[in-house]
Amino acid sequence: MLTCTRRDFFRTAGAGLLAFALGPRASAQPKEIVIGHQAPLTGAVAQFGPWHNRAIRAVIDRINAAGGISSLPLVLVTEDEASNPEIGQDKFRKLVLQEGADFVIGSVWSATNLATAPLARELKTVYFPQGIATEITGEAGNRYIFKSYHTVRGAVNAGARWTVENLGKRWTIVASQLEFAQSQAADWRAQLEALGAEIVDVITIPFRPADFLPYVSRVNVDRTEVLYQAFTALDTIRFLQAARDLGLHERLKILGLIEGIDVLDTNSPAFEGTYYITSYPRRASQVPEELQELDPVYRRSLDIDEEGRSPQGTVVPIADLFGSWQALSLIRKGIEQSGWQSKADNSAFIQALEGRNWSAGLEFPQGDGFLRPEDHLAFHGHYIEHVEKGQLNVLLRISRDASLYSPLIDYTQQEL
Amino acid sequence: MRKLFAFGVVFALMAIAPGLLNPYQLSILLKILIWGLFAMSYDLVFGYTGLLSLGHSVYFGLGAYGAALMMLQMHPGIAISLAAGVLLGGLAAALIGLLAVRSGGHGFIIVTAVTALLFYLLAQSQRNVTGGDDGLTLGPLPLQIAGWSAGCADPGPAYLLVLVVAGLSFLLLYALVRAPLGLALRCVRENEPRAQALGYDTITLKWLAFALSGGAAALAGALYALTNCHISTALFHWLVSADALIWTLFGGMGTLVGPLLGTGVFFILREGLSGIWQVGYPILVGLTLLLIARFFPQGLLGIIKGLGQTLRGFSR
Amino acid sequence: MELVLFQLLNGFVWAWVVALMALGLNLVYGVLRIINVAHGAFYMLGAVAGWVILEQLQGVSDMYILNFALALLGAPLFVGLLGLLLEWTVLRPIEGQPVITIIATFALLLILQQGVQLLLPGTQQVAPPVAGGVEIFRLRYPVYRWVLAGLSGLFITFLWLLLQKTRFGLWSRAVRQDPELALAVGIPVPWIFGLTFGLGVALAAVAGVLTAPIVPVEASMGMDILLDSFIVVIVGGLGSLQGAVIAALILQLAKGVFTIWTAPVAAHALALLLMGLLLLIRPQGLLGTDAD
Repeated sequence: MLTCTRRDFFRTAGAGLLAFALGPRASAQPKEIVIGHQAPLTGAVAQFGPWHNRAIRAVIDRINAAGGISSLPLVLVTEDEASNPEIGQDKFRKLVLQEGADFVIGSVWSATNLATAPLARELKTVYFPQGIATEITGEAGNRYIFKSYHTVRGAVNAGARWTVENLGKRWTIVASQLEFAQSQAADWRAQLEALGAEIVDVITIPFRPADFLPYVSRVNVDRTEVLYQAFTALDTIRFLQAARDLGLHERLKILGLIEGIDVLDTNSPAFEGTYYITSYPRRASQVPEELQELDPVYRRSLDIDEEGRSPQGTVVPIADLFGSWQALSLIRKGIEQSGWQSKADNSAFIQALEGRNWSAGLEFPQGDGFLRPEDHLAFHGHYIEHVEKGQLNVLLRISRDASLYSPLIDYTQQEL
Repeated sequence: MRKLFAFGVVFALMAIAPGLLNPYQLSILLKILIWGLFAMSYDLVFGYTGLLSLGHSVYFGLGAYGAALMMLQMHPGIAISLAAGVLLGGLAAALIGLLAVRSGGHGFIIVTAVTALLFYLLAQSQRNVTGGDDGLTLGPLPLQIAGWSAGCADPGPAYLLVLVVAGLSFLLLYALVRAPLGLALRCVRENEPRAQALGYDTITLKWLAFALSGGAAALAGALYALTNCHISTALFHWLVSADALIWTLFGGMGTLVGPLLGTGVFFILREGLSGIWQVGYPILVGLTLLLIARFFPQGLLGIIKGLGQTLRGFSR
Repeated sequence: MELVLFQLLNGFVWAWVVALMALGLNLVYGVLRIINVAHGAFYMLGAVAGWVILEQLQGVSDMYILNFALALLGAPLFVGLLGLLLEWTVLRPIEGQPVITIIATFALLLILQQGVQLLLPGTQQVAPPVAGGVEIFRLRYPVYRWVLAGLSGLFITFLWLLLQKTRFGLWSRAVRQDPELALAVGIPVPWIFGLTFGLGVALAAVAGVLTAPIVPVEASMGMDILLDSFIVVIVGGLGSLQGAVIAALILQLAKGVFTIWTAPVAAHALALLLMGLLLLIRPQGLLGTDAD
C-alpha cells in the first residue's frame, strides 16, 4: 500500500517539475533593451517601491516615445523584492536569468543592495542600487554597481559644517540598527570628530521596536545640544512622537536626513522645528531659481503637485526618485556613447560612464552632477530644510563640492 | 526493493536537472531540496512523535550561522563548515529539548515558540556577529567540479552537493523511522500512557527525536547558508518553523516524503503566483490549511492514497 | 535614578497590556483547551477596527475622547462577535483534536493578518485621546500611558466580576472543571464555548485598541506580543487567571529592570530567560494546578 503511494508521489512530483521546467526561459531578444526593477512593493519600505516604479515607467515611456535608445525600445520588468535581502537576491536572479534583464535598477533597501552586489558581478549585469548605505560604493560593491544618487557619506559631508556651526557642538546620535542608519552613525562620528564637535552618546535601536520610550528616555538631555536621528520613515514618526512626549523637542535641535521623512506629511506637531539635510526641496516654491524651469517638467511627469503630493494627496518621495530617474538617464548616455548592443558590450558601457559629468537639464533635473570613476558614485548639490508651521523650508543650498570625500575603493582597477 | 528503485529514479532525475533547467530554476530547485530537508526534520518530531514545535527555526538558524561564521572566520573546507553548523544546532536542540519535552503537550508548543523568540532577540542584539536584520553576505561556495564552479547567482555544482547531502539525509531518516526507534516514537504519539506502561521511557524517546530532528534542521540551515550567500536573523523567527509545519501537514505528516512534496508544491505555487497575487499567497495558504485540518488531516499523500484505493475499488 | 524609575514605570504599564492578552488566551485555554495562535491577530484586528471607527467618526463628532471611548467599546464588540462566529464555523467541527485545532488557529492567523494587509496596506497612526506628558517626582511620562494602565486594570476588574458574580461566570467555571457533567446538569455548553472564545478574543481587541496610540497599527503588529503572552500564560500556570497577571508583571518589570543595564532587545531576551528559569523551578506554573 505504501509502495503505491510512493510511486504516485514520484509521478506527481515529476509532472510538477516538468511544468516548472517548461516555464518561460531567458531568451535573447536583440531588438529591445530590458530594464529590470527590483522593487520594494511590499514590506518595510513599500512606500517607496511603487513611486520608483512609476518614475521608471514615466522615463521609459518618454524615451520610447522619442524612438528608444539607439533605436532600441525599452521594456520594463518589475519584481517585488518585499524589502527582504533574500527575496531581493531571488528576484535579481529571476530578472536576469529568467526575464533576460540587461540592466537592473535596485531597491531602496540597503540590505537588499548589499546582498545583490555580488550577484551583479557574477552575472555581469550593471546594477543601480537605490539604497544609500555608504558601503555599497566601497568593499561591498564592485565595478558593476553604479550609484546614480548620493550615499550617506556624501549627504553627511554636505551638511556637517553648517549644522555644527549653527545647531550645536554636543551631539547624541539615535540610529536604527539597519545598515543605512548605522552608516549614518559611523559617518557622522568621523565628521564630528574632524570638526571638533563632541559625541555625547550613540543609541542604537532595533528596527521597528515595540516601544520607543525605553530608548528615547536614555538621551542625556542636559549634555546634548543636537539630537541626530536615523530611521526609516515609519520609525521616524514614532521616534519624533516619543521625543515630543518626553519634551525633548523643547530643549534640543533634532536633525536627520530627508530619507527618514520623505514620504511623511510634516504637518503634525511632532515634526515642528526639526531640521533635515535634503537633496531637493519638497515644495516647488523653495526650488532655486536656476532650476525653476525644469522643476515643473519633473513634477508633471511624475504627477507631483507644488507641495510634493500626488493627486491622491499622499506625500511623494520627490528627492528619492531622482535616483531611478538619473539611473535611466545614465543608461541612455552609456549606451549612446559606447554603442552598446548587448551585454557583451557591458565593459565599454561601464567605461563610458566612469567619470561622467552632466549639467542640469531634462535628463538631470536635480542639477549639475558628476559620477566619480573610482567608486561609481554620483555627486550633486544639497539643501538644509527646516519645518516651520508644518512646512519644509529651505534654509541653505550646499554646493556639490561640499559633499566630496576621498573614494573608499578604486573599481577602475577591477577586471570587467 | 521497489522503494529503493523509485528513490534511485527520482535521484537520477534530480541529478540531470542542471542540464534541463536554467540557472534560476535550478536555484529554486536547490531551495526546495534544502527547505524540504528542513520539513523532513520537522516531520520527525511532529509527524512521527506528535510534538507540535514552533521553535524549529532556532536549529535551522543556528545551523546557518554556525556554518556561515565558520566559513567566514576560518575558511575551512565545506565539510568542516557544515559540521560546525550541525554541531551547534544539534547541541542546542539537545539542551533545549531537555526542558521542552518535559513541559507537556500544550506547554511544549509554547516553550518551543518562546525559544524561537528568545534566539531571535539574542541574534538581533548581537548585530556585530549576526548582521541583524541586514544579515551577513557570504562569498560563493568554494566548490569546483571539472571547471564548473559554484556561484551565488548560478548554484552550479552546489546543487549537486545539496542533492547528495539531502539524498543521504533522507535515506538516514528513512532508516531511522523504519527502525525500532521509529516504531517506539509512533507508539508515543498514538498513546503515551500505554507506551509508558509498555516500559518505554517516553521522555527520553521524545528528547531523542527532538535532538536528532534539531540536528537535521541544522544541517538544512548550514546548507542554506553556504549555498545562498546571504543569511539574516529572520531565519530564527517562529514563522519559519510554522512554514515547516505547513509543508509537513500539506504533504502528509509522518511520511517523510510528504513534507518534501509539500515544500515543492508550495515553492512552485509561490513561484507561479509571484507577480500575480503575491500578497494573497498567505491567505491561500491559510485557506488550504483550514481545508486540510477539516477534511484531509492526512495531507496530500493521504489524498493520493485514498484516490488510489478508490480507483482500485472501481477496477475490481 | 530617574532612568530606573522610568524603566520600571514603563514595564509596569506594558504589564497590563500583556496581562489583558494573556487573560484572553488563558480563558480560552481553560474552557476550550485550545492554544489560540491567532490571538495576536485578534489584537491587531482590535487596533485596526478601532482605527476604522475613529476614521468614520472623524466627521461626525469633534469630541475625540468620546470617539475613542466608542472605539474602545465598538472594536472589541466587533472582534468578539467575529470570534463567536469563527468558533462556531471553524473550530467547532474539529473540536477535541488539539493538534488540528491549533493548526486551524494558525490558519486563521494567516488569513486575518494577510486579509488586513490586503485591505489596508501600510501603517496607520492613531492619536492618543490625551496628549502630552506629565511630570511626577521629576519624571516626565506620557499621560496616555497612565490612562492605558488604568483602563486595562478596569477591564480586568470587569472580567473578574463577570467570572465571579454572574451566571455566565458560574457556568463557565463548571464547564472548565468538567464539560460533560456541565452538559448533564443542563448548562448550554456549546454556547459557553462560543461565548468564551468571543470574550477571549475581545480582550485581545481591548488590548489592541488601548495600545493603538503608542504602537504602529499594521497587519503584523500582533506577532511580538503574542509570544510574550504565551510565556506569561505558561509561567502563570495554564488556566490560572491570577497567575497570568502576576507573570505579566514579572516579565515586564524584569524587562524594565534589565533595560537599566543593557539595550532593550537584550533585556527582553534576559527577561525571557528569567521566565524559563521560573518554569524550570515550577513546571506547572506559578499558580498552576493541572499538569497540562
